[in-house]
Amino acid sequence: MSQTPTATRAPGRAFSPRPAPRHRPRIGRRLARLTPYALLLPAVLLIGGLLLYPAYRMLVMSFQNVGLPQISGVLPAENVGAGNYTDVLTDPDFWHALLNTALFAVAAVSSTLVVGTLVGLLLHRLGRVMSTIVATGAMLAWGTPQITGAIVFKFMFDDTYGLANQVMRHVPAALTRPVFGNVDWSEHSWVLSTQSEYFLLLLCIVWMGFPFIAVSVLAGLKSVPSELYEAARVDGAGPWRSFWSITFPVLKPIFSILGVLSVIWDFKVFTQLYVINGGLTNKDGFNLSLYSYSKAFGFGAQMGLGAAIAIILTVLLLIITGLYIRQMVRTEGLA
Amino acid sequence: MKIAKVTAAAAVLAIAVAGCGSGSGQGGSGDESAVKSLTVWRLGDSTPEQTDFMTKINSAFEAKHPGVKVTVQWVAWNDYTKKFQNAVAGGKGPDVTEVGNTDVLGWAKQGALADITGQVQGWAPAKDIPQALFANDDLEGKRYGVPWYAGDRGFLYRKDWFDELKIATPRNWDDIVAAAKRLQQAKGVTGLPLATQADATYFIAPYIWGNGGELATQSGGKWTSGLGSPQAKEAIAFYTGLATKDKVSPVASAGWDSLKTESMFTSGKAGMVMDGSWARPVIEGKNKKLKGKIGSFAIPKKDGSGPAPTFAGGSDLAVWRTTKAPKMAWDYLTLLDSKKNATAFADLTNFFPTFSDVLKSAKYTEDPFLAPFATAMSTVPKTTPATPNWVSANQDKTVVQTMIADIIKGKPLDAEVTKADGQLDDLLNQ
Repeated sequence: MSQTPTATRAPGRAFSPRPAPRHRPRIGRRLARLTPYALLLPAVLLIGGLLLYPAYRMLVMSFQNVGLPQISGVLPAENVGAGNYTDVLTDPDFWHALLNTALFAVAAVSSTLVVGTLVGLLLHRLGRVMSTIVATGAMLAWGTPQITGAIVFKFMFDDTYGLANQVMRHVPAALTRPVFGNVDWSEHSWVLSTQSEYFLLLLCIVWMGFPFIAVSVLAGLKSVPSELYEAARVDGAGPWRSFWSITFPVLKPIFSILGVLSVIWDFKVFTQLYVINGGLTNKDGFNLSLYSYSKAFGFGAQMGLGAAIAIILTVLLLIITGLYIRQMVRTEGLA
Repeated sequence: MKIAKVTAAAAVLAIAVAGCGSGSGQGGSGDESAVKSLTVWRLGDSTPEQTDFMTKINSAFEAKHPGVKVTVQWVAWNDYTKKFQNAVAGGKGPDVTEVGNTDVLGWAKQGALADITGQVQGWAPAKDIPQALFANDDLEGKRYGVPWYAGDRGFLYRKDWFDELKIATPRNWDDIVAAAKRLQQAKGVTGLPLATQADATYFIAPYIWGNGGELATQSGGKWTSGLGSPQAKEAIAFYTGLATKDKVSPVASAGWDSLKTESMFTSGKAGMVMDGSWARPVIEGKNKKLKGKIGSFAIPKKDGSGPAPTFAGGSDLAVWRTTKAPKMAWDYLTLLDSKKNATAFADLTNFFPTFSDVLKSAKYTEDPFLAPFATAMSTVPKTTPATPNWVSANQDKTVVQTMIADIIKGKPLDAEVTKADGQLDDLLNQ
């Protein structure tokens, strides 16, 4: 917790640079000292009630055998020790889901950052009217609820009714063959193979995720002095060179933050994958979030097992972001 | 802001845990005069005809119980597992509910349904319902549901196209393939879209049974999967071969459920579809152009020696365990399941009532569309293995569905069947 200025300048210190007001009574002083804590209280209560307590319950549950009979109070929950964790770690489905999660996070974070940065650069270059149009388009993508976006994507890529197959049918086979192989586009399914399903998910996530990156990059670009670019141009630097020599170093702190946030978001994608995967039947398409959900809320409701997976996911995320932030602080002296 | 989904889920759980202490009361005080509302869950689409029917039942009930208001909530079939699960966990269920007849045992075991053994004993019409249909409702000597309506699956086909192309009604497996290929060629549609997900087990089962195979058999308290038998294997090879060998359904069907195949038939993109008799009013309601153009035939045995035994699917009615008004709930249930109302409902939806005396009437055996379904059901109606573990094996682990889908995706048949066979052995004996 960071201290507020009021707390650091505690009144009444013998050598305080600012003389304490003489007329303030003791009770008032004590009150003043408590004020910051009082102001923190609502937030702490809210976070405690909505995040910490449930997280604590989840931790407890991850060591118990909890199913519907236990939740509804028919049977008591039994302690199973680390049983849930060993079950999870010996389940091949878990390792498959972990692989899906990690590979997808790498692909999604890099694609979102690249596309977002490019759009940010574009917005910076465009005139007022065009940049308003592009920005509005991007904001609409950003503002679309996750579930709506996912359903729209799923429908666009539907095997029978989808727009994607209708378009692909008119693209010369010479163009599609190198990427997709020999495909009959009349009823091609985009979700049958896991790679193809995650490709669809990638499109959906990048589409919804790039506007935030673009806007953040744009905000950063506005703060780069234009003299730097002028000097670079005089020295004969092209756009590629001036991006890597000026824009990127100046915006590095912003990229670092965006990187962390994207990793966190893309590691635990749920809504879009749930829709694209068509629920819980296709286990090949699970990532860790969906795997956890399927154990906890699928038929048979093994909530203890689901909780254990969620804890593992949380710990993994903490480790990854922790390493990343440490790296950031080291190389840039950034806090 | 994106909040961790898992944390949100945990929050829901935490609330559920906190609330469970008060939710487990059985409401057995006997005095229900304070209860002013009754909630009923119905499964499926709320078509206007269905809502009208429910409104009529509700007014009749409300007239008998002044001051009580009945609310009907519609739960989509594909969402219903989740809805029940949340209701059991959250302690907020309905008073009366419709349940898929194969699922009653599973839900009873999960603690969702009330024991109504005593009430059923005192209910006269129960004697006309075949005992075989009650088999799905009994767990450890207690009864948890009452059959309401039943139906079986068969083929729906485009009568106009069959007439135009002079295709005769298929009588055996080869006929089916030939008809599907002809439709595909002449009309540029999918010949026979296959369902492989969700309720697909009930589409492949008749082929297995008709070929002399079984899904699973029980002896001495132990279940044995029948999927690996040569008869079952031949049936599985035929079903999946419709996509892999005969190509009358695309490889994409490895991701399809019966809602999808039905929608393809409805929108004129398929020449035939395997579906229930009940699908006709739904299809005609969505696409008026198909009125009068839908014919039906029963799923045949391989050699054409008659219709294959089909799965008697349908719904039962049950009282929710945590209802505050068990007496009123039972009263509502018996009103809905009276011979008159159950028959009216079955007629409305192209299902069949479960009372054997009503079933023998000419209106079922002489109707050209209903007769194939009625005949198939009256030969040897089959139900799925009567163990609570079946629900988990079929709905959660989706053993049969995954097997079909993987074979269609191109995995070797023998290995997939052996794998599914072993899984079913394990799951049914848990």
